[in-house]
Amino acid sequence: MKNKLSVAYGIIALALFALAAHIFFIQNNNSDEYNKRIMSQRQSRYESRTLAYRRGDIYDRNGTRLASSEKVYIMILDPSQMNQAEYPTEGGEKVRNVIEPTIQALSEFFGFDPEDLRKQITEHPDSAYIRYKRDISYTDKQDFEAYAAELNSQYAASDDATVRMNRVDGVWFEETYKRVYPYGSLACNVIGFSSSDGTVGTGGVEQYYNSTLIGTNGREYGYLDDEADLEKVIRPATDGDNLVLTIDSTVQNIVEKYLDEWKNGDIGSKSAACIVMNVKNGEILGMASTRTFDLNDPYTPGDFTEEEIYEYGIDEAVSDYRLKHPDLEPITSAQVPEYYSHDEIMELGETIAMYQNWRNLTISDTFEPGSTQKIFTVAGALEENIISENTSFDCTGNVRLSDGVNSWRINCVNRNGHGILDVKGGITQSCNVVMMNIGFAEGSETFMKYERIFGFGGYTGIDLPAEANTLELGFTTDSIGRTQLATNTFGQNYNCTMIQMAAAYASVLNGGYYYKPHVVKQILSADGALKEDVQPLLVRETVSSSTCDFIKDALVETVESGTGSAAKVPGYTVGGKTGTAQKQPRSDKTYVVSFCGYAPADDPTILCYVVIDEPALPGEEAAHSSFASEIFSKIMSEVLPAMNIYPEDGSEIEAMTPDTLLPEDEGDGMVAMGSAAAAGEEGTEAETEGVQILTNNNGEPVSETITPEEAAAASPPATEEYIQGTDEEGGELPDLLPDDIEAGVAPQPE
Amino acid sequence: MPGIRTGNVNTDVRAGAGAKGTTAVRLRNGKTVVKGAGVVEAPHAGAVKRQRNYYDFSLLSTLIFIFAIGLLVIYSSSQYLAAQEHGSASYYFSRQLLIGGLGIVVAIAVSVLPFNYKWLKTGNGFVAKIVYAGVLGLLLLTQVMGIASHGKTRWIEIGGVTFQPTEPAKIGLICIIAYVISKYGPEINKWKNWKQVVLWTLPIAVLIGSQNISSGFIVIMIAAIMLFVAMDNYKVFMGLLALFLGAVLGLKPLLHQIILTAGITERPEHYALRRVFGWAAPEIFTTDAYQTQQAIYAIGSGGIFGHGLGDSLQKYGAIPEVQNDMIFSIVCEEFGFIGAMAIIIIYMYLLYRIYKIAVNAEDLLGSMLCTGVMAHIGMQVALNIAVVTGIIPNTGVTLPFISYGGSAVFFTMCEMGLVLNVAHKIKV
Repeated sequence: MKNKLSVAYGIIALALFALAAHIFFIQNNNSDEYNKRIMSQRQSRYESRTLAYRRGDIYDRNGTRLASSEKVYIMILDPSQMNQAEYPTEGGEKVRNVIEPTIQALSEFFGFDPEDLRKQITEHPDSAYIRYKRDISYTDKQDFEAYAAELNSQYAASDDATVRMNRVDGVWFEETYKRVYPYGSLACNVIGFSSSDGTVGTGGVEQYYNSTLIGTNGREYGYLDDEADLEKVIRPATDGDNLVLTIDSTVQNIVEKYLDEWKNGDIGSKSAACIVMNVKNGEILGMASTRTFDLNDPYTPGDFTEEEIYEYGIDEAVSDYRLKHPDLEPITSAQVPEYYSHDEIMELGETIAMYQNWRNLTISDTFEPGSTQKIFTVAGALEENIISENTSFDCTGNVRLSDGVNSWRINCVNRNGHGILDVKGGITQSCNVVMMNIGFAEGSETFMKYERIFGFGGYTGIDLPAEANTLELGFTTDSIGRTQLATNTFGQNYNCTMIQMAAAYASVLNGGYYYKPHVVKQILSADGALKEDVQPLLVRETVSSSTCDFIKDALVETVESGTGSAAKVPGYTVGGKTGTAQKQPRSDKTYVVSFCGYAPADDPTILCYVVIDEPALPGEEAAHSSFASEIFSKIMSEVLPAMNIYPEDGSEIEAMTPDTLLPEDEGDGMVAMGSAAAAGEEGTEAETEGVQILTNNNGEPVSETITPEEAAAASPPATEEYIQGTDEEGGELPDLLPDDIEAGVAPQPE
Repeated sequence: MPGIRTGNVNTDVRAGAGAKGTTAVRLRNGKTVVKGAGVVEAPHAGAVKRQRNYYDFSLLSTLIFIFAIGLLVIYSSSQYLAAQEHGSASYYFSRQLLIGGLGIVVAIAVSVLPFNYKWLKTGNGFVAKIVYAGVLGLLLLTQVMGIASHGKTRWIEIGGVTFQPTEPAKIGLICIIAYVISKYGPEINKWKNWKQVVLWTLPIAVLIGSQNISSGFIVIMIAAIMLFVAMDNYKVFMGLLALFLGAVLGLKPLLHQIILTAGITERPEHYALRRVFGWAAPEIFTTDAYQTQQAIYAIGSGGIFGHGLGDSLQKYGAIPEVQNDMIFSIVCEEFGFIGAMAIIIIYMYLLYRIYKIAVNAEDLLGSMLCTGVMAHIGMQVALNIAVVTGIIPNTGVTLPFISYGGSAVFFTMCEMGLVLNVAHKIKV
């Protein structure tokens, strides 16, 4: 028996040795080949994973977070893993129930439609990557994972063999970021918005500073080293830099509040916009328009009416047709309904409306600025000693010009003429005739030289995208004719942007230094360290400080006793200039009214420029600059204390009532402005120190140079700039813009 | 009186033992490293002053050692899947530790307590028959109210504990065969006597084999080896062995040729046939051959020295349920040929210890019990490795003490307790 026991043991031992030999054979002969096979299997299993970078945050100057990137998760379904778990050996026995328990868990936890889940999973059985749901919060992700783990341990511990086969599997979460704008539409045009993956910014600093805000994606990947060890390498993502804006969200809020109030007020307008900036360094503190949109949901057509959207749609359909059918005859607007359904037109229109909504009116839209230009006409002439501060002009109410083909009578704001006005009076009364005369005295070369010095016809270079090119929208020394020179002197017949006007004003207010306007103050690294401190960039010096001082005096007087009375800010001495521009085509009688002012008077710091496009009133009733002046006043009365500039007289701001701010006629609209009764009251109001009054309240001349007829015809000094209606033929501004010159209808340069 | 001497007791002790008539076995608290034990003719029984029961610490420590290695490999191979499926990387590891640890405690208890394997003989083998009847009952019960898993009814739940009755059934069978053989002694060579062994084996073999062909095969092989050891006949058994080896080595190419010639591409219905077809023609029945193929890749990629502990790639889901039957492939991948060889040698040593106890057992019953256990463990190890290396079809045989699996680990530990008990009854 012992022998046989030994034999039995021996046979088993031999068998084991034989098996060992077999293993040796496998390993010795096929090691490399099998390694490669495993590696290739493994590589295909181990997909490398992208680690998303975090797009930089955007803060206002006080550290308020205006844009942020929230960590969210994308839920990924992995049907291939589910199937693999159910049938580990392909086509073999089913060892797990995964798909149904997983669908159940997902629909119970997240409320997903089980049918849809089932469809996704069964239709893509081999897919390992179905992005099922975006924007899952961290807590939801954590809770679901805990829930699934709990379910799985319950299943595993179940007494029922069928239940024991159940597992939740094949669901995972990919980390990503979602752009969040905590204040919704606040400063929407300045901030812009980013694509959901955080790679592309549209509009605002999101676009302009996109390369700063984005980071570099990291990667997690596996590779097999020389010993065929799976090495997991994580190259972490580099997060984007943060931006600190010059925008002050308090100021921005105030600006938006009053623009909104205007928009929803009794009158309203096509649009209105405002820039608040620090004149000493070009920092933009607030920048807004009545066109706003929610940065968290930018893809909406906004406030446009259906008619407007339809109109946009018609226009877009014309170019759409031309694009799609380049060989065919283009269609006209009238033909559009034949080729496009109403829904298609509306759809095209909505897209355009959306783009319109995203426009930053303050830098992308151009307009004829009107009288706010006047200070530059004066400043240039003073600087070149063409006029002195004491030069006087006689305003007869209009200037007649002729180029031999056409003739124009260019009216002053006061049709009856201001009479004798000195330079300062020309500004305070916003006299066109004075300006035209100064312009003629300067000549086109000098005039255009100063236009360029003040930045018109160029770019301000503000750090925001889509700044309008105004070069083609104004004249050059060569192309400008006498008529254009005449109208350019008071801001008609050339186009500029709001930011150009604001930056040019700032340069006069700060004593002659033209700073590049900018909205970004600092660039911080992802961990908050200062990477770049944006210094004020002095682009050039404009005019001498004495010229600036004269202009500032004139601007203060304009508000104190001139056309800018409505801009008064209780407790402060402010300066500013009104603008009332007639839009093209002139026959439409549409207007852009504006006010560009500053405070404090003795140390100009804050500039506020308000522009209203087409106040919603018929004809000349819309042409009252006080609409803008009032908004300026309201905004400044809150912005100044917010910027730590307190009333000079120490009075309490709260004690002021709006009534004290306004000329008395302002209450019921502008209709009564031309009436005699109103005019009489105006005269009384205007009787303040330092104002050059040419007529008294009774219309009697106080100056010998004015005839009684003239005096009788002259209105009292205006406390507002407005355009009077006229029935006379030819009493219009020329329509000419540079384009028209090329068309050949323009007067020839002299 | 047989005695077992440890190697480092050496020849002088052997000489002295005879001269002085005293047993000079120094077991040194079992710490002695056994380099090879020799069987020494016992001196005169009357001369023994003080008889002590032998205890095979070598076997016990080898058992614990191999179980510990098993735990290590289970953790390494299953941590990925465990974390995936159960949310805890140590899920399989801790369960194995718990049940295997319990098994070791039971084994030690069985080996030293008043328990005596000779009780099997009590009342004309009444106890052995009770044990047999018990396991047979369990098997029958499983057929009736078992738990289906993987498509077959192999599990039963009694008193909140779920286990595979196949494992205790093997113990029951070993017990009854050992009893029958010890009852007849040399008379076992007679047909009417060894026929009884066949009769006792058949019901269990059929019941187990109906659910699990490979386990049924192992049961038959255990009986065959026990008979071989007990009987005088060589030729028949050697013929059977040759037949078996021939089948293993020849069937694969033959079947492969048949499948190719007949152009069979349809997968058979029966799971066992599928596995056989997948084994014979893996290039056609790729899905059925998948697990084995992946295991062979794992073994091959390990090379001579392996990738190192924890560095297996195939454990990341490539080999399904890798901690069970296929665990040896991960051993080969991580530890290479050296590691695989080491494990095989440990098994051979373990089997050798059982062999020694069988040789030195006090009676034939003890010898045959040890023979049965040796046959069982030896068969499982050999078949498991043969499956993993693709020599035989995928049968679902676990690697004793190393593969994850509660029932198997616990009951093989119990078997080892039985062997240790046999050893403990040896007087030295």
